[in-house]
Amino acid sequence: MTPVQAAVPQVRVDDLRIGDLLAEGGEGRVFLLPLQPHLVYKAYRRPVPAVEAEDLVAWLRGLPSTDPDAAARVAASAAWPCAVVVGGTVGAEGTGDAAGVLMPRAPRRFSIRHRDGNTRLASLSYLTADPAHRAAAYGVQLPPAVSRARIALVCSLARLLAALEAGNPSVGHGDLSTKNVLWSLQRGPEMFVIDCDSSECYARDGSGLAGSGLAGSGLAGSGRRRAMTPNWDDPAVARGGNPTPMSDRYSLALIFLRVVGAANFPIQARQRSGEMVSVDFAVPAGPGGGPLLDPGHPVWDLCARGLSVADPAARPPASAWVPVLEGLLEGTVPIEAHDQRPGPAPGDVVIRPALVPHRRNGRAPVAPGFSVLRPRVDAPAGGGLRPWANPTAPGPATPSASGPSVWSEVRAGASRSAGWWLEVHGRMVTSSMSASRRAEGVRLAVFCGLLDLALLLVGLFVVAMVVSPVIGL
Amino acid sequence: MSGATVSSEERYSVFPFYICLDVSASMAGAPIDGVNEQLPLLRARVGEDPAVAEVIRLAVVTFSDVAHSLLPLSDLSLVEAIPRVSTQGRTSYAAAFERLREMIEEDYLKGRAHGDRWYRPAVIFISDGRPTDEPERWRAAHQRLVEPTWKRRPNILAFGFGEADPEVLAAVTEAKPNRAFIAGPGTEPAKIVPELLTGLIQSIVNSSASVYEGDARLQLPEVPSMTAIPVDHLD
Repeated sequence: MTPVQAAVPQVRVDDLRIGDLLAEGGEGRVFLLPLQPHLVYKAYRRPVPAVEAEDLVAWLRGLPSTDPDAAARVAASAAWPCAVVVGGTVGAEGTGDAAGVLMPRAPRRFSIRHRDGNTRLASLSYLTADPAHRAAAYGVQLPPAVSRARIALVCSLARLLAALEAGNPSVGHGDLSTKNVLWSLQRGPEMFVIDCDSSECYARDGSGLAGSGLAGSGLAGSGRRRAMTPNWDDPAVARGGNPTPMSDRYSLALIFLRVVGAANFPIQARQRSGEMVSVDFAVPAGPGGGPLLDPGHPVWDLCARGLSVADPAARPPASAWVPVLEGLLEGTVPIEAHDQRPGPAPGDVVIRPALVPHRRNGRAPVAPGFSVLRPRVDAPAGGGLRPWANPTAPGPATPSASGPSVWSEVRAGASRSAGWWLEVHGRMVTSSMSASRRAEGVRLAVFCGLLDLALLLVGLFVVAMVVSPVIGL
Repeated sequence: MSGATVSSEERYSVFPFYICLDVSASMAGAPIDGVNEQLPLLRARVGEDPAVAEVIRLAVVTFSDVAHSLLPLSDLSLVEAIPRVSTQGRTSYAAAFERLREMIEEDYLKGRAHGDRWYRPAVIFISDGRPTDEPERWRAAHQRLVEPTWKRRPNILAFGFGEADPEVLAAVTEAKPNRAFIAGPGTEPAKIVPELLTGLIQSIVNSSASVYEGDARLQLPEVPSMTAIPVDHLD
């Protein structure tokens, strides 16, 4: 392995025109730069060896020569450090410390406009709860659980992480948490990762290369503390410890569980205490009445392995997720997904399907006695795959302290039904055009025909019985 | 290895906060204006961040001659606005403590019926004056609120300014260290109230982060113009 060496831009803090404070965290404060609106300046509170930031800047600058596709993906989907800032009291020249870094600012589409008119970063927290609650709270329309949009969002993240893994050396972000992973559906499903200056380069044996001098400086590493966000941390890492190369793999599985399942699934405390975790996972029914996401699909195996604490080394890399998620979106199961299974799963996290009724009042009954992670099946009217939703679309009626109104429930239900109708017809067209899925296409065409005939009859009945008398026919 | 089931319906335990606010006549003017300016910020800061709103429940209780529930215990993301506050009457600590005990008990039972799990509630007691009711009465009401056999008894933080009595505030917090705070002499209430509520908002946000660690901690607000009331030595 030959570490990439590339010139790293360095900027003096005195040469920056620093604007308003954008965000504040334990490690530093993030400021706008009025003269460079596409960038932000993260100012460290405490000195950080400049060589660490230089390594990360150099990593991406050297990537196009070896993997231009990965470089383009990282540049488009991550706020990767692009220059090291020195000077001032924190990064005084001659100390070898950085005052901070310059990083791209998250594009505007990775934000959400609330009902109050203010926009906020589109954090993962919007996606980890019942969409009906988020609609009532903020007036934002979100895709239903286990929808195509949610799966495609996770797929977008998996592609980015696969690019980080494939680098030479590989890189781990280490804190893929609600506030560090943003999402957007405005131009199709995308995720954008921020706070990348805490990432770490890893050698093939998994040891950290922080400060080892990829940029040619050759200074020793600092042993810098890289905090993980509570509730998004890797329970295989002891409290206070730094994330490992396997931590991003855990995060990807956790994000799949939470984003696709539209729920929090608080599992880490149990995993830390050594318990075997079983997750009850609701899956809506597809057009044919069966589960929309097949309980036997390899994605569940990936998820269970990715969440394992008993054997973190067995967690699948992001590159294993990409074909499986793409296959899920295309309605196919990649053969390699079966071939790549590395023996029996560790067993501390298990997935098993179960059919349950459609959730009412935002809460589905839980079948007693189950002791394993299981996808559940909801009725089709409550969810299902549908075209991409616009997260900034105006929501239902303004909520009050008493919660969502009946009208907003009706509108949300109509919106979900329309989305489901479009999805079914979309799948019918897609399947019919695919030679390998012609039989499924025929079945869906028959189903859609009967559905549309029923809708037509209902419409004619309404016109005949309700509308005609009103207009005098 | 023992097993545990986690479902999509499982939620985090919630951390209930009861802000208990003195609205007696002496709070008129700048103090109450400050409250009315800050409460919308509190709602926005807690309610508009889904990660915070998820685990925080907040109620506002006002007290003067009587105590009212200005805002029932709520998920602030579902609250459009906290009603404005106006001043009247005297300063009945007893009314405040009695109302708090009733509300906490009712809210807990209601929440449990919906499957909520609670961390021990926190009461943020804010007053600019001494109690105007008989000491025996407010002390008895306070005793009921902090009764050791009552499982829902809250942790209390007390903040005083104006004519508030440090010894009384220390008693309200059961003389626990770093629970009662008093404004420095001569500090303007117009300055204190915004500072206090700003610190309070940040403390609630910080406390929400600890809930996700599975170990909720009541984070003390930073209020530069206030100092902790010292705890007496035992005789």
